[in-house]
Amino acid sequence: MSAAPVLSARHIGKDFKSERGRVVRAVDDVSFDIAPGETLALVGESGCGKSTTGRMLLRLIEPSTGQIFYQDTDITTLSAGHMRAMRRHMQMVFQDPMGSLSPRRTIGQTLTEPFEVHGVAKAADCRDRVAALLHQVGLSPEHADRYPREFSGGQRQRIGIARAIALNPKLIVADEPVSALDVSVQAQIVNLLQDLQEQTRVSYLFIAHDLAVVRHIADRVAVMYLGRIVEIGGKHQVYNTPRHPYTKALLSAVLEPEPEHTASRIILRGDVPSPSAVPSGCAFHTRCPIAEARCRVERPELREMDKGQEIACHLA
Amino acid sequence: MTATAVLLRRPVGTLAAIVLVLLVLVAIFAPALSPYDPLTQSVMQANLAPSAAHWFGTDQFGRDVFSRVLTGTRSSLLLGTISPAIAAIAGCALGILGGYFGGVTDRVVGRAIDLLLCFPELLLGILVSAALGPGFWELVAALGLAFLPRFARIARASTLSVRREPYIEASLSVGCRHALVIWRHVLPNVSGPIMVVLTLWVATAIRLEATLSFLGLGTQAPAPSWGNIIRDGLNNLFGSPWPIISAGIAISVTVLAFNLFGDAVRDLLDVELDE
Repeated sequence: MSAAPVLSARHIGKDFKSERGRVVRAVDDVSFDIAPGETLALVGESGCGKSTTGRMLLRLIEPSTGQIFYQDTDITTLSAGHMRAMRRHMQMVFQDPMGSLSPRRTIGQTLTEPFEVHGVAKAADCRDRVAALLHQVGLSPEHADRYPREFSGGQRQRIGIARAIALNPKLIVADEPVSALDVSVQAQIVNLLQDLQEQTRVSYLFIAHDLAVVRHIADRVAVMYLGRIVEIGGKHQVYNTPRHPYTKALLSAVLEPEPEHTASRIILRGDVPSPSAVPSGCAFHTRCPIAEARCRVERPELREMDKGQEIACHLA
Repeated sequence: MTATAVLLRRPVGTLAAIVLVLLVLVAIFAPALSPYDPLTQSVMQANLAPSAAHWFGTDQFGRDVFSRVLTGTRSSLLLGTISPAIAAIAGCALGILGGYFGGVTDRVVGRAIDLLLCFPELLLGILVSAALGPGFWELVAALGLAFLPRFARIARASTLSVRREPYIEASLSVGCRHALVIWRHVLPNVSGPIMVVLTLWVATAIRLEATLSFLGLGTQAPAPSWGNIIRDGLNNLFGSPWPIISAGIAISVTVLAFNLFGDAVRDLLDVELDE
């Protein structure tokens, strides 16, 4: 990675307080960089903190600790007003394509909102710009006067993407953008995201749990477990030579297209521990097939194993 | 489906709406419609039964009951709509703020609402009226305060559910201010239930106006209101029952019309959302 990163997260963490005053550490000490035009995929089981991490990058959830740099600006210290102005550079695509569009507003109204808020286009130009946006995501300008309920799931997600690219952002956080869609539509949306990336060099933080989709779209992959990154590296490194036992177990659960290529499947025992009671030492030690005494006490830090591939494990 | 088509499919609601429009017209044109001055007394004409000259008869001072009921429509409707309207605006503001921002704001608003809810509306109305003194605007203030927590609670509940919608987060992520998000995305979703509740509380306000005027805390004699027509009539029940009957029917019809209209509005909004 040569170019200066679009966005860097440095040791960000999030504590949620439960009603009884117990602290749940949803995200703990997460750091990564996203280069211009790059897609970093964030994968992990549900509840591992990937969505929280994505939202913290945009300060839709305020981080409890750590810093986030957009280019050279530390956005964690920006005032609310400056942060609003900053939002035009960093946008979000949501998991629920229906829920993320107001049912009371036409597509045109929804897509005009970004222009209006940032004072980018005059009211007269908005119609043209909305038409251009709709065209860009494979819809037609006549759709601007319709309501979200008149569209299919895939079309709604196209509208959600159109809203995200309206201001030509440098970074889009895509929070499981295809997991709510039919498999046949998923590919179309993933291809749309890739086409847009080729045209605009936008960077993606692609949050997903579907490893097949990630393999298709990602340049680099970060694997999260209980709020921490356990492995991060180039897509081929992580998929071909996974080093963390958790990554190995995840990948072994993916169905292989060639039946003769059956790697032995690693079955993890037990459930993911609750984020409100993260195990001591390495959070994974309770389910790890190779855990030792040391893993129960000492927390492994990320260390570079191969160029660009880092893992948090004492034993690999 | 247009709004008119929906209305035509709900004849009861439409009828209620027509009655309400007529009532408003009566309130506006009461002086022109009244055959007599509602305040002119005539001892010779006291306690008359309904006749062609006096449609609803006369009271113990010989005042024309029909003219008094017509004029009373004004204070009843005015108070019946203004006090819930004030309560709705203030209550919505508080409830939305609490529901939207949560945390300390919500706790403060919530406790204030709980405190006001401890008092029945009638009691709170009497308390405030007693503190401010009797009179029309004092009564508006009293009932406005008494109704406020009802609206605040509904606004807060609706806001809480809307606040979690992803499109709220989407608007914020685009860069909208909270004020714009509230105005554009929260308020339209809250206003539906509030409108329904508003029509129902208008009915209650009219009833309470009558009650408080009956207790002597509302519209002051000799100006007529439905409540004090009944109050005066009660003292003279055996002289002439017509003031009580007339004003009673006026209150019943109005309250019923607002309730039925409220039901129709609710159905209308449900249909709109189902489509």
